[in-house]
Amino acid sequence: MSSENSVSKPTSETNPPADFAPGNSRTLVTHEEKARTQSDLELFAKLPKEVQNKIRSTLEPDELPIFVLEPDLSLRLSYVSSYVILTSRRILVVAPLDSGESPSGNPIVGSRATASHSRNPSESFVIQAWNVQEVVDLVLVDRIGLGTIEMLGATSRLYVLRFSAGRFTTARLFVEKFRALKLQLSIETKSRLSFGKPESTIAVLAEPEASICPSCGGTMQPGESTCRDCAPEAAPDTTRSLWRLMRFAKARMGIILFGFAMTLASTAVGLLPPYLTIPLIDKILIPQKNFELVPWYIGGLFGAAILAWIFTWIKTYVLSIVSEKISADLRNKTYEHLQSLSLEFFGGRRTGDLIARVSNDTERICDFLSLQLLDFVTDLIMIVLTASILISIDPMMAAVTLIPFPLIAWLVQYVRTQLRQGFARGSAAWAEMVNVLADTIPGIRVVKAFAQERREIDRFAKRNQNVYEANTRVNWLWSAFAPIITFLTDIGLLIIWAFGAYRVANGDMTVGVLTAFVAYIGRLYTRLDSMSRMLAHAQRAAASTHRIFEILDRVPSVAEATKPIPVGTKTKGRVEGSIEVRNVCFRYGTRQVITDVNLSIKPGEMIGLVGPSGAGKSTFVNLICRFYDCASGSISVDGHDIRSYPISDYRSNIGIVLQEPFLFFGSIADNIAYGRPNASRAEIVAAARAARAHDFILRLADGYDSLVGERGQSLSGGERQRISIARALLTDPRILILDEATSAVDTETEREIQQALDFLVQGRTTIAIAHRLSTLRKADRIVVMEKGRITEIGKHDELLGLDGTYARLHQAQQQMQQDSSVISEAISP
Amino acid sequence: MNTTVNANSKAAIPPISLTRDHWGRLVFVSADETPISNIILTPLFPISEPGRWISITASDGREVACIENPADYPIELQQLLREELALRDFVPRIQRVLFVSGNTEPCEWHVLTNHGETKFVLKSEEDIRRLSPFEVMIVDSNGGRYRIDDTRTLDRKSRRHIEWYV
Repeated sequence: MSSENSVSKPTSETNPPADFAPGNSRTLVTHEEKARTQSDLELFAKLPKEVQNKIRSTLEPDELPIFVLEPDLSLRLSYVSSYVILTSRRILVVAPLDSGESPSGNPIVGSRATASHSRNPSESFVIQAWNVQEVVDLVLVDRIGLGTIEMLGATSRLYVLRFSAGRFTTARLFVEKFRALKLQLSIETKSRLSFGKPESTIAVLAEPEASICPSCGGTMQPGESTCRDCAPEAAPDTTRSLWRLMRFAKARMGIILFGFAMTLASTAVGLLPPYLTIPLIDKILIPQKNFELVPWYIGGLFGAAILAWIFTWIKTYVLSIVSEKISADLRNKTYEHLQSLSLEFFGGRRTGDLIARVSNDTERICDFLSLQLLDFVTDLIMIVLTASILISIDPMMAAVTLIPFPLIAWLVQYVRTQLRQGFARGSAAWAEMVNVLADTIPGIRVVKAFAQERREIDRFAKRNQNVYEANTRVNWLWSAFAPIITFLTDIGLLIIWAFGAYRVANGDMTVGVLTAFVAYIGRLYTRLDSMSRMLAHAQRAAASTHRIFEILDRVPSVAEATKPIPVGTKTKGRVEGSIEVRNVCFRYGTRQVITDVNLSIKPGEMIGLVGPSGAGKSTFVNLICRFYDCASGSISVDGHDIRSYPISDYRSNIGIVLQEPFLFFGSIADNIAYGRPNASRAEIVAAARAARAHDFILRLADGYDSLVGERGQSLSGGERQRISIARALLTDPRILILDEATSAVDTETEREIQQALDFLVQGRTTIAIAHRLSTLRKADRIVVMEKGRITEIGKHDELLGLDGTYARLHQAQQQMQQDSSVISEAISP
Repeated sequence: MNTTVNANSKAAIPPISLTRDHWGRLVFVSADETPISNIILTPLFPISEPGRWISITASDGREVACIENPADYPIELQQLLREELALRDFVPRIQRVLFVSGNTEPCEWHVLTNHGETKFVLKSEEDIRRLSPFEVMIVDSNGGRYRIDDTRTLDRKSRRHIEWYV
């Protein structure tokens, strides 16, 4: 973060069109009053009124507030809000009027000469101020969960700020801004001394730059310590999550409504038979006459059965099609969106989780919609219809039979919940047991080597015992569950029988009606069990929905330009290959990874990039590929900012050969042609020949048709690398990135790969990252990066002459080579 | 770069001299008239384009020439290539599946091929592979290969066995 840059170059020049890079504009703070009130408003908007007033009254007329930090802990570590304001000349601390803690952490020795206290009994805050000049430095210390900023004066510690983890990022920015301001002021003082004319502009970054979230690669807002997407969120509301699926259901509303109508029809028809039995019993069976009507009733019952069968069939079919369709849409949408997200999002351990989201979660939603929700809705319809039928037949009787129903439903639900908790404990114990397996079976060599078999067996047995105990605890409830349902059903039926018998005896009801009641209620009770599962199903489906929308809600960190410039109009979409890197800074979470890098590369030039790990080499290359956008500064290719090109057109000009080449499952020919699927066989063979891959491909059983990749034939590292070189060669990239292409292989293989690489780099702008300096012997220039900055640039010999980092690296590697040759001589007879 | 990728499809095709010696082995005579014996013919795309792209390889695995399209060469050479390749690849074409021991691998298959009846053990479902919509290749537990050129020509029962996998 260099403040000089922003003085000399206003935003509009460094970042060509501002709409490509939202959030990294630097605001110039001037002494104009207008600017002041505006920045006041933004900075202080969130502070309490009293604090705002207090600060306003303290600020001198031409003093500008720059940044606000809100430490949330007192010196004794209780949660107390205080406010620290960095202004153009002072640091103001607004702290609650409190228990007489010494602010500096030192015993109070009289009042400080420099700190101006202003105390007023009616106010609950006290304000203290220090001039920026008298504060020598701010020292930030991050401990776990506790941050401290020590304000150091020339002779003593002036003040200590403490805050919790949530403020780390802002605290860091506060310190950076303070340092930038101090630098700025010292420059001004010098210029005042030398020219006698003060510079009137104070330019300190008024707004922190947005940065990239280290865990997912999403864009992070200034001042956030985790990006919003990665911050854990409380479990979402079930209904609201599920409701979001409506977005996907809307497109298929017609067929959904049809399915719903079928559900209604099939349920209604299913309720007909008991209704028909009333006259059958009352008019025919009990009086024992009119037997000629029996075929009609039987026919009616048969008809109802047939209709129920057909309607149920149609409804199940239609609604399962709908739910399949919805979950397929969901899968497509999720996968499509995944492809647009940044590389970081796919980092290591997430892979399995992402695969599960696209496959299992959508599957679960599909099951929920097509089976569980459908059943539940059917049951609800059935309850409503049954209730209305019962009421229409005999309201009194209906009241008696339906009143216990909610109570019983609640009981079933209660037992289910208990059961679910029991099962959850059981599966947790199970997972613990599996963990032992997953731990010890891959590590079996260590177990055996240290003769710890007995201990591992005991460990497993103990976990296994836990599984047994957890399952036993739930089993007594589980085994009681089905009998409980039966018992409750029986009780419900008993009530009907008792009350019914009473009413039949009094002549208030016929036997036929009683039978119908028994039949209806019996059906309701059998559905209770499956209904009680609904809540759990809904919660699980909601969790799945939430996990999927978590992906869909993410905003890709690299945005397509609003008015893209076509790539290489005269040269069929190929760029010339000149790269101009200007003042590029890049942050990764709170870490500054690349600081003020400037580099121009001529078309066809080969640049070797060396430096210790963590120096920002890979990040630099990622910026050139536009896997991220830089926070400030610009990268231009052929004179245009790369953010102004359409992303995929631009990337098609770039070829990458990575340390670990990835081959997809498929034939070798498919893998070579990955970047250009329509390449002819002649081109594929030619590329493979050029990459020195042809000879070993020839030896495979199926030649170019041999299957490779995860489930295919295994190739050696060097062979895979040569295939990936052929792949890069076939796309004829103008800009070539070699990211430690030869690090993962032995020296013999390296030599083979090197031949292929030498051919590949011809005529292309190449950036090669390498640990082994020997691989860079063909490089036109070598760039040394350290801690995010370029420290040395030049040819091999020049850099050796500099006697700097490169020379040291070179010497170390020479030394190692000699050592290993000495060893190999010693070993060989 | 462009000259290497756009291989010489239309350029003049250099004559290739390939003969059989008294031991029945192939001999290649290169442009500087050095004979190289013990020549091996390797199709580069044995599955997707078996008739073309034939590499002429010396016994040490070095490629000495490559025939992109045999049709560009004299009829005698084509004949020689055909004979040699026919012996190189033994891939019976399955015409009918007579019996499959079960739906879980490993399972035993009895099949009728263009070379007669045979049986083999299928190790895993991955060993049955679809090459194109109707072309299927089966690799048995010993690495032997079988092909079906067009599944539509099989009878219903055979087809059901194949479609269980692909």
